[in-house]
Amino acid sequence: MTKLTDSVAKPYRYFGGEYNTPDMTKPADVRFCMCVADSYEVGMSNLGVRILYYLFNSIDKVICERCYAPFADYEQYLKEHCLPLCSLETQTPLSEFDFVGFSMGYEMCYSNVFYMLELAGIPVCAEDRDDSYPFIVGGGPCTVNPEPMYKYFDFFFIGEGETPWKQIIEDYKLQKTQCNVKKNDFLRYVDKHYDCIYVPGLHPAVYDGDRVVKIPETRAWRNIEPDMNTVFTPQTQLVPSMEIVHDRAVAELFRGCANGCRFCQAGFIYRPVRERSPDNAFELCKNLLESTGYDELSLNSLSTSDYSGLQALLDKLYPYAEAHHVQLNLPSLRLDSFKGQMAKGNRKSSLTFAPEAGTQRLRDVINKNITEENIFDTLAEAFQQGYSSVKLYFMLGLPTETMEDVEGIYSLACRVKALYKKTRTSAKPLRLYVSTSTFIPKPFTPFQWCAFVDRDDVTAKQKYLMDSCKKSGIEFSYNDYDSSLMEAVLARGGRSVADALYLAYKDGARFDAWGEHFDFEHYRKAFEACGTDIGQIVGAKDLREVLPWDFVDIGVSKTYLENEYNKAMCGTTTPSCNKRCNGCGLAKYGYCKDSHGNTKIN
Amino acid sequence: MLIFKFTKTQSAALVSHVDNLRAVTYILRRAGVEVDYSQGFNPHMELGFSAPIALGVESLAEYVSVKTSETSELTERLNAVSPAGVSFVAQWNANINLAATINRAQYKLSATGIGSVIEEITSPGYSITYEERGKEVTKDVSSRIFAANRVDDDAAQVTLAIGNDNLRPDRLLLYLMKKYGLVGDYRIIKLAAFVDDVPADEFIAAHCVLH
Ligand code: SF4
Repeated sequence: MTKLTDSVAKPYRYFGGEYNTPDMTKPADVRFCMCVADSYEVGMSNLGVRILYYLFNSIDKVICERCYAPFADYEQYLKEHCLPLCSLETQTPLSEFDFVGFSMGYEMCYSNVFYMLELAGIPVCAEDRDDSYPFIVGGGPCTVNPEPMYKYFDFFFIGEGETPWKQIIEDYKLQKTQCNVKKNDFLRYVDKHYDCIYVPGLHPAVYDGDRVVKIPETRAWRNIEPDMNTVFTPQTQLVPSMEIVHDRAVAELFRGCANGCRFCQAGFIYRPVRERSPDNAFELCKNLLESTGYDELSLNSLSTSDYSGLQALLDKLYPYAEAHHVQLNLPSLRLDSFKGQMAKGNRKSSLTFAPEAGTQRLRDVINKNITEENIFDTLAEAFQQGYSSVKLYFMLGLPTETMEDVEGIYSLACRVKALYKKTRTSAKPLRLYVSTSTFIPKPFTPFQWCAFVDRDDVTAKQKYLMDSCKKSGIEFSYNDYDSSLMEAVLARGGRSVADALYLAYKDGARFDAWGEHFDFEHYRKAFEACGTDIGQIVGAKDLREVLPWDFVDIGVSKTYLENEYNKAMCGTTTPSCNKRCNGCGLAKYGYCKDSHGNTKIN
Repeated sequence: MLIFKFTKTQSAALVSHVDNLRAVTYILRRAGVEVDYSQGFNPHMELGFSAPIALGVESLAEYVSVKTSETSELTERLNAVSPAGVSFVAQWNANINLAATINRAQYKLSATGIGSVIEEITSPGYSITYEERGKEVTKDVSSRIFAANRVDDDAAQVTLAIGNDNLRPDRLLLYLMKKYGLVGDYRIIKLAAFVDDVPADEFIAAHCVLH
C-alpha cells in the first residue's frame, strides 16, 4: 500500500505489467510511445495499436511502449508530485521518446490529445516544438480528414500501417544513428518518400472563414495492405490483470466491407474486402487463445457474418472451443445472414439488429440492403428458439428523411411486438428496445455533401418516438444531439476549427467520447471566441465545392461517391461487392482482381 | 487438489483480489494445466484463494488451491507464463480451505519513523481510530495483533489477523503515521502467512495427501 494506491483508483492502468509485454530491456536506438487518447480500459482494445506495438517491438533496436489518458485522480497525483506523463512499461516521460503516436479511432478523442501532451510537458503546437521534442504522429481512421488537428501533429499516417511503418522506422533508425538527422529534414524525407504520410507543415491551405479556398497541394494516399494472409499479424496480445473493454482474444477475420451502406464511413475507408483464409484465421484464433489464456474469443471485422470462410472456420472453431472451455462471440451478425448461424454456443439472450431506417424507401436511399421480409423471417425464427429480447437500432436525420420514415420505425417496432405474440415460445414478456442515433454525414461517404440535421427537426422526431413507444411499452433511447453535432464538426471541419479545439480543451473539455464528461459548452464558447461558423461546417455542400479533405485519396474515386449520392437521391440501390464490382475505383490499383483483395470477384 | 504459494509484487501488487483471480485463471490456462470447471451456466475454474489483501500491499505469501488431477511439479511451467510480479514458489498436494484456515499474516511496514513507535501496539486493550464509511471509528484491536517488532527506525514487523475479524495493516500504519505526525510515502509487504502460530507452509506440508 502506498500513497498512490490511497489516492488513485485502479493504479494498475498506469503501470501495466501485462503478460506478453515484449522485452523492454533490449538495446534501443529508436523509442516509440504509442498512445490512445482515451482511458486504459478503452484504449487497450484498439486493434491498430495492438498490431503496431508488436510490429515495432519486433524490429531490431526499436522499443515501443504505451500510454493512455489518465483520469482526474491520477492527473492530480502527477501534478502534486510534479511528475510528467510517462509510458506504462518503463515509466519514461513521453517527451523523451523519438516518436509519440496517437491512434485516433474517433474524433471525440481530440481534446484528450491536448490533455496528454500538456501532462507530458510537450508543447501542443508543432511549430513550438524544436528538435528536442519527439515527433508527434497521428494515425487511425480519423486521419482521412486530418485537417482539424493539422497544426498539432508533425505528420499523419493515413491508412493501414503494417508495411510502410516498418520501413519508416528503419529509415529513421538509420538516419538517426548515422547522421543524427534533424527533425525538419526527416519530415521532408518522409513527405517525399511515403505517399501515405501527410506533413501538414509543408503544405499550406487557404481558408475564407470556415470555407476552404485552396486545399494542400499534395496527395495523401490511404495505404491498403493487399493480403491479410501475409500481412504482419501478431499471434498474441497483451493480457492485462484488470478488466478492460473487450477483455478477450480478438481475431481479425477480414478488412473492408462489401455492403456499401452509404451512411457508413468505415464501409468506404476500409475498402476493399480482404479476407484471411479460414486456415489462417483458425491458426490465428488458436495462437491468440493459447498465448493469452483467454477463455473468450471474438471474431472481429466490419460484418463478420459476410465472411466467406465463416462455415469452414466455425467447423474447426466450435470443437476447439468446446474442448478448451472457450466462449465464442460472434458480433455484428447481419440481419439477413443471421438465419442458420443462430448462435450455437452463443449465450446471448438478446438480439441486436440495425435496420437503420424505418421504411424500405429510406433503406434504399442509404443502401442498407435489408427488407422487412428478412427482418421478420429472422425474428420469427429467433422467437421460436426462445429469444425474448430485441434491440433495434435506427438513425435519425438521414438524407431525404421525412416524418413518414420516422413513423415507419414505430410501426416496425409494433409489428415486432405482434410477431412475438404469434410466435413466442418463451414465457417471458418481450423486451423491445428502440434506440436511435443522430446521423453524421462523414467525409468519403456518398453523403459527405449532405447537411447534418437541425436540432429542432431531430428533437421533434425523438419526441414523437418517445411518446409513441411509451404508449406501447417499447423502451426508447436516443443519443445526445450536441455530442453528435460536435462529432460532425470534428469529422467535417478543416483547418479553421483547429484553434477552437485547443481553446475548448483549455476551457476544460476532455474525455468527450464519454457522455458523462462531454460538455458542449466548452466548444460553444470556443467557437464563439474564434468566430467559427459551425453552420458552414455541418451544412450542405455543393457537389462542385472543394472539400477540406479532398487531398486525401482513399482509393475510392470522388466520381464514384458522387454517383452513389445521385443514386441515393433516386432511391436506387447498389449491390454488394460480393455480387459484382461496382467500379468504386480501387480496381484501378490492382485490388479486387485475382491477385489481391476480394478474390471472390474475377 | 494442488496448493500453490505465489508472490504478488511489482505491478501485480496493484491488482485487486477479483482481478487477480482472473489473472491466475489465465496463467493456469496458458500453462495448459487441466483444472476442473464448475458446473452450471457460467462454468469457472475451481480455485480457492487465501484471504484477500488490500490493493497496493505487496505479498510474498499468497496461496491458491487448484482442483486438478495433475500431480507433477508445475511451478516452473506456471512461472514461464506468469506476468511480472507473480511467481510461484511452492507446491503441495493437499485439501485445505485456505481462506478459512490461514488466519494470521506477518507484514513489514516501512515509513519514516515507524520503527520507533511500533511496539506500543502490543499493549493490552490497544485501540485505533480510523474512518469507515465517512465516520470516525475507534476500536479495540488488541485481539487482532499478535506481534510487533522494530526492524530499524523506519521499518517494523507486525503479525496481524487476516480473514474474518482481520486488521488491515494499512489502517494500522496510517493510524500510527497520523498519531505521530510521520510524513512521506509508505510501503507494506506481506512476508508470511500463519495458521495460528504455525507458519502456513509448515501447516500445509503437514496436511499433504500422499499418493
Ligand atoms: S473495386 Fe469493385 S469490388 Fe472492389 S471495393 Fe470497389 S466496387 Fe467493390
